[in-house]
Amino acid sequence: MLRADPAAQRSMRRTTRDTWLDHGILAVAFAVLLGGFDHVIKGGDWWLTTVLIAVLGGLTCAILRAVGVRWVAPIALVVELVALAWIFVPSTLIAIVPTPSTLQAFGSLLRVANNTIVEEQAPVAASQPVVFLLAGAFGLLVIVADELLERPRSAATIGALLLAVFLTPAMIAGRTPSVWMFIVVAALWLVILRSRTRQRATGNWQARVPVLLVAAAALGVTIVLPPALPDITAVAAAWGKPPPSVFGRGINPILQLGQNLRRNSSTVALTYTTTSPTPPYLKVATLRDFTGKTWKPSGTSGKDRFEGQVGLHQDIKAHEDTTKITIKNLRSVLLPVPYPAEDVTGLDGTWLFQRMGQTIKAQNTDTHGQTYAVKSLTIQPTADQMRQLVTVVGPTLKPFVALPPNMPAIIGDTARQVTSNASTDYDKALALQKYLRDGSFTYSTTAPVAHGYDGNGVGVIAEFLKRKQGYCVHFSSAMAVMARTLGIPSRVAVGYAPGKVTGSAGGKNVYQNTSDDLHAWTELYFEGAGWIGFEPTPGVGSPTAFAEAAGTPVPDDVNNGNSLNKPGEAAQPTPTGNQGSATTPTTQTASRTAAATAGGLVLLLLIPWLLRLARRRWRLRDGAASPDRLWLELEDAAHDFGVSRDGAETPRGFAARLLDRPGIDATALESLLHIVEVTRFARRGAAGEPRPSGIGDLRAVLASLRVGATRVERLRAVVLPRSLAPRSSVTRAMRARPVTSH
Amino acid sequence: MEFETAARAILANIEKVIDGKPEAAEAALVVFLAEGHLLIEDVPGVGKTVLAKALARSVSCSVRRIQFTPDLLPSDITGVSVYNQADREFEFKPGAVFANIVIGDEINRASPKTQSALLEAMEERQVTVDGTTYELGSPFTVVATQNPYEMEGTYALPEAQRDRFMARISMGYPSAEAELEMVQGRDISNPFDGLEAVASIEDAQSMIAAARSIFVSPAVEQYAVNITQATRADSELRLGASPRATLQLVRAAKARAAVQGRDFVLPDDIDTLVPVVLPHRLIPMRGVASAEDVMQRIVAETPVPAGAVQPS
Repeated sequence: MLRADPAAQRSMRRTTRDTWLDHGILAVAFAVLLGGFDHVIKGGDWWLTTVLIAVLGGLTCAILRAVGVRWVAPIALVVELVALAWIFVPSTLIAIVPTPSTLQAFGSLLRVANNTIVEEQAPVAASQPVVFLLAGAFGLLVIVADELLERPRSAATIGALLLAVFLTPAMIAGRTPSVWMFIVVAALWLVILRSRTRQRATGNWQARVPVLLVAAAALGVTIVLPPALPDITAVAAAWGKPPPSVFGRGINPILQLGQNLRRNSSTVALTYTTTSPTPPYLKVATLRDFTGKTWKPSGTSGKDRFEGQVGLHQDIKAHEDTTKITIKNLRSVLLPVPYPAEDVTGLDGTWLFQRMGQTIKAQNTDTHGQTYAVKSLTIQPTADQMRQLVTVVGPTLKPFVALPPNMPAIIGDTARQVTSNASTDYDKALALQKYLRDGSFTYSTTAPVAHGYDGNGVGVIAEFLKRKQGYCVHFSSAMAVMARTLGIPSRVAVGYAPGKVTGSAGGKNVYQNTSDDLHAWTELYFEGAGWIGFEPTPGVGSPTAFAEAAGTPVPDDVNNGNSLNKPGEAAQPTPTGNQGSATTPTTQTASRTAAATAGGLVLLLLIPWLLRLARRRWRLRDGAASPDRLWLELEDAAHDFGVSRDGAETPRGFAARLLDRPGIDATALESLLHIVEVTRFARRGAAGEPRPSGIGDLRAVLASLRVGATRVERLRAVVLPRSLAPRSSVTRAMRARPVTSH
Repeated sequence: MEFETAARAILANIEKVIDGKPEAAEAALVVFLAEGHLLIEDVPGVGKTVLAKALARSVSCSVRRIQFTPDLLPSDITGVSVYNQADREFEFKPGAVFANIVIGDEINRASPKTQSALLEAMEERQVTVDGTTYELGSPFTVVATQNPYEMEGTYALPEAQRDRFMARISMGYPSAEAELEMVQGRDISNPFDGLEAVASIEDAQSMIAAARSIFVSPAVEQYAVNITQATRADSELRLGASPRATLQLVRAAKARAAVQGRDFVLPDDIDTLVPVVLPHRLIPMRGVASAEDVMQRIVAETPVPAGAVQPS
């Protein structure tokens, strides 16, 4: 047997060097992407630890590959885990050998990190568990990336990986990701793509033209795309999906509230009609547990009482209302319903009543597109009846007055000071509501973020009481916490404030809620009347106050039955119930954004076609069109129309396949084929006769190709010219070859 | 072009007696013009001998036919020195190999020793008997036939020996129409009766010279080399093609280009000839269906060099 071909050896060496280059480039890309986490994690040397672990993992993989060990990924994983243990929990190691307690320590670190993620708003402090999670994640990414680089045709997967790492911090922090970072990472990825798809045998610059074109297109998209998509969350919401969030997804609705309110576009969430004279609040979730850092829904427990008519004092008047709700652009597992809901009909899928808070949760579906009718109770006590109610806090109510340790003094002090003149729970509640609504507090969705106290922990509430600026989350949680300091059971409700009238159907008003109507309010418990909603947010709805008619229930027309807003004699009715949360009308901006996005998309769609046209013009430019270029153009054009190219095929073979297409101009094709064959394979300059250029033949063949193509093929040739993809050195035969084992 | 007319005439002549087998006729002519030797492997009665005879008749050159049998001796092929009593000298009686076209029927029936005598003559184009070397005529082509389905008492040519043959073809059965036509035609007359020579031996010699001067571009040379190199690296082949195979592939491609009326070789010539020029020299790995399939794959996988782009 002969010795191996030296050219083949050279190309193999180059492959190895290319792979090393790819590894280096990917490392740089990850380093750049790490910068994006700056908005998510605050302070500390978290990046040092992360880089350390990532570099260690990368080096381990590199050394193992150089030595030729087979199980690279598992060994690198073990090395990283030991390093993590050595950094974070050194006491659990015996020398450098991990023990079962190491794994336990890892578990608890992850649990704490998970809690931090769920409970805290980004940016979170660089606590040990969070850094552990981030370092571990990057270490894992490095191993995955290393494994991918060893595989052929993995460029797309690597791109997806980079994109995921790029988007994650932006989604967590709810910010627009940096355009520059995107450009840099995209450029680095293009280099990897280039080195992984190039034909190794050819060294001339023409082989690079397709790749350069793709790179130029990608860079163009990079520059066009970010302005067209101003905010990922806004676009996601416009498509009817909840804003992407990693922190607190589905667990803590209250955390998403601020983000939703600060968004600069609004979408119609739902519409409804109701038999009640005033539009009801629609509750989505009930938050009972106050941990000191945030409000959380309670876990389901058997002790939770099923709310509804249970416990209603016999003298208190109540009647049923029916609300018909149609969900438009809202995708959530929690169903918006008026409180207290008694019966829901018309839902698709499996839904569960949650005993606590009378909210409804999907088991296997979500709210999107649902239409349903809710029967809910409207409770109409008088003010005097309310004053007579005495609440005894028993074991079931205990969680509703629970407060975290280390409460800032300002909360309890303010509560006592505000309610010093009130003697009954009801009057205290009214006093708290009045203090927050009518005092010197102002509504602002931006001030808390600007001053760094967004959220709803005790610290945030104390800061809020000092600064007197905030939005519904702050008002409602402040009132709930202050009520608890006074011994009144309280909780926070999250849902939609009453909607705006948009029309009428069947003699009833049709109300519409947009994403700007997302709201939080306070519910206080009165033994005998149940949970009564209060509205502490200024400018939203109207404050709760029951009719002051001694001993007798107030007639319906005065006490108008809104389950939350019950304007008494003193309260002035506010007709515009939804005026609140959004600060500026944004419909116009949204439509302009939509138009710009649509225009941008059309432009994007045309980019491939323009590139293709430019390349054809370049190839066929006057006086420079060699028959080889003509043939390349013919192959590409045919490829656009669905005739595949094959590097192992002779021009004659390709022409034979092309002749099978309907309507092809055979004479011109044969003439062009002859010219190309003579150019490529015949003796140079031997034939004295001047060679025809073949351009006319090419144009004739191209025209006949287009005429014979189906409409779909023609459309695809314009929108997605396949020939723009780099020419692969893989032939059709290789693709068709079954995998054999030897 | 004179060459092309002559080639067409020869092919037309052959097709008078062999119905519906233009590829086999072309392969035989290409091998003849490329000064190679042809191995026809097929079942008896499909026209192996007729093909060889038709080619010989068309060119009006000498034809000898050897029916190989187990007791055939090497001297029957090469010739023998006989003592001439009248002249009192040893006189060389030429063997069957001294002809322009030698038809070796059922070559696998002879003993390896006899086979070797023929194969040696094929390669050297000369015969040495009793210390004297006798040149063989030109053109010189051996057309050997072999029946692959009858193995008992035969000595099939080993792969290394098969390398001496430029091409191996199998005739295959004729189609129903061709067979019917043949039955009707043969019934009346012997097809060879009307077969006239369309080219003289001098014509054949000049055609061979012309075929030799056909231009092969570096790209096509590279392509041929890439294909034979690929056979040596392929995981499904135990033995790849020899450098002689590359040489014969290019030579055959030149002859085919000439027959097709071109003065340069196309990669398509290589593609067409690979299935007849290469597979009989290869030994596939165990469990691999056939060398033909492997060659088909290798041809489909080997990129065709486009040739250097001319500056213009």
